[in-house]
Amino acid sequence: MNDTIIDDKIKIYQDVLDEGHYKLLTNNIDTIHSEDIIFFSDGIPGFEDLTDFIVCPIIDYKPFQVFQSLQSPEIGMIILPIINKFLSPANMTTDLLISIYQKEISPDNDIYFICRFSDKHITINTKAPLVINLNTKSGFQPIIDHDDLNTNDNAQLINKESDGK
Amino acid sequence: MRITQAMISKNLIEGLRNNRDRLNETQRKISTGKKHAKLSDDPESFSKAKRLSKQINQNNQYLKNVTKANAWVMTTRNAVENLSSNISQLREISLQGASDDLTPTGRQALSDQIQYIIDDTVDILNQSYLGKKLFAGTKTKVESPFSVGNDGSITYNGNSANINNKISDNLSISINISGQEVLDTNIFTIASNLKTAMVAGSSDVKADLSDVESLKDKINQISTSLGHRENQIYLSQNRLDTANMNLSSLLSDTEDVDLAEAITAYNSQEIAYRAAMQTAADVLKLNIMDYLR
Repeated sequence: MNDTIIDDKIKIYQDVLDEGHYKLLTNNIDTIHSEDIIFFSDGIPGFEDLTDFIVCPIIDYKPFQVFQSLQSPEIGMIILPIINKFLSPANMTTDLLISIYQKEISPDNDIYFICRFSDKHITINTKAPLVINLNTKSGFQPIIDHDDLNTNDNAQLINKESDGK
Repeated sequence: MRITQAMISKNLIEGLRNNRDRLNETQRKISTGKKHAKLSDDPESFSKAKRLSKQINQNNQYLKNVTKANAWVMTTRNAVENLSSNISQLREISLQGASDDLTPTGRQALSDQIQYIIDDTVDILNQSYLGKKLFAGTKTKVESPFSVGNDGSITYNGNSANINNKISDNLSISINISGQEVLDTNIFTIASNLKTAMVAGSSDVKADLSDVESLKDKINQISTSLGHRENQIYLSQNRLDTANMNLSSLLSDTEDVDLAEAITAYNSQEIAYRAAMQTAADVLKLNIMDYLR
C-alpha cells in the first residue's frame, strides 16, 4: 500500500475516531498514526468485515482500555488485560486461566478480556479473548474450547492482599 | 459511655447498609444513569444500536437452528452407529458361515440371524426424532420410510433430498442422511444375498465376504460425514455465542452510562463494601461462648 493510500485511510479513520466512543472515554484525542492500527485479518465474530482497530487506554481509569473499530464508529468495547490487579474471573485464578490459554495462544501476544457492564456486575468473556501482537500489530479473537470458559463469566475484584501482589 | 456488643453490631450494619446503598447507586448508574455526553443524544447512534439489536435477534434465531440441527445430527449419528454395529455382526456371521464344518442346521440358524439383522436395520432406518422420520429425506412425515413387502422385499418411500438448516447469514448445513444414501450402500441386497448364500454353502458365503467389508466402509464413511457436521455445528454455535457477546458488549449497548465514572466508583465502593463485610463478619461472630472462654 503506498503512502498516499495510507494517508487517505488515516484521514477517514481520524474522522471515525472523532465520532466514536473513543472520544467519549479518552481525554487525549490525538492524531492517529499508521503504527497505531492493529489489523484483524478475519475481523472478530459478529464483525467479520471489520479489520482495522485501535486500542487506547481510558485515561485515569487504567487498566481499562477501549478497543475501537477504525471503520465503524459505533463498534467499540471496553477491554481489560488479563494480567491486571483489578478483576479476575470469579470461577478460577488468573494463573489457571493463563495456563489454559497457553495451550493455544503464543506467549508473544497480549491477551485481553472483553468486558460487559450490566446492572448488577461486570462480566468478562474468557472463552473468546482478544489476542493482540503489538510487534506485528495484528490480532485475532480465538474461541477457546474449554469447559470452564464462558462468553459471559462473572468477574470478581482481585484480593489485593493475595492475588494482586 | 459503655459500648455494648449490640451497639457495635448496629453501627456495623448501618455502615454496611450505607456502603451497599452507594454500590447499588453506582450499579444503577451503570444500567440507567445519565451522563453529560450520552451516546443516545445522537439519533444516528440510536438507529445503529437498533440495527445491532436486530443482529443479536437474528443470531439468536440461528442459535435455535444450530441447537435443532445438532440434536438431529446426533440422533442420526447414533442410528448410523447402530447400523454399523449390525454390519459388524453380519461380518461375524459371514466368517462363521465361511467354515466348511457347519451343518445344514447350523447354516439355517445363521441365516435366521441375518434375517433378524435385516429386520433390525429396517427398524433403525424408520426411527423418528420429534415425530419426524430421520431417514426419509424431506418426506419426514411419511409413515414408514422403509416398508417390507410380503415377499420380504424392501421399498424406500422417502426421497433423496437434503434438509438444510441456515446457521448463519452465509452458511446452511445439511443435517440429514437420506434413506436413499443408505440404500446406495446396497445394505439390503448384500444382507439378503448373504442370507441365501448361508444356506447354500461355504463357498457362496466366502464370495460375499468382500461385499460385507466394503459395506462396513461405506457405513463408516456416512458416520464420519455426520461427525464432521457435528463439528461444524459446534464451531458455529461457539461463533454465534461469541458474536452475540461482542454485540452486547458494545459501548452503544450501555449508551446512557458514564462508564469511566462507573468503573472507578465500582472499584472503590466494592472494595469498601467487602472490607466492611469482612469486619462485620469478624465482629458479629462473637457470641456468648466467646465471653465464657
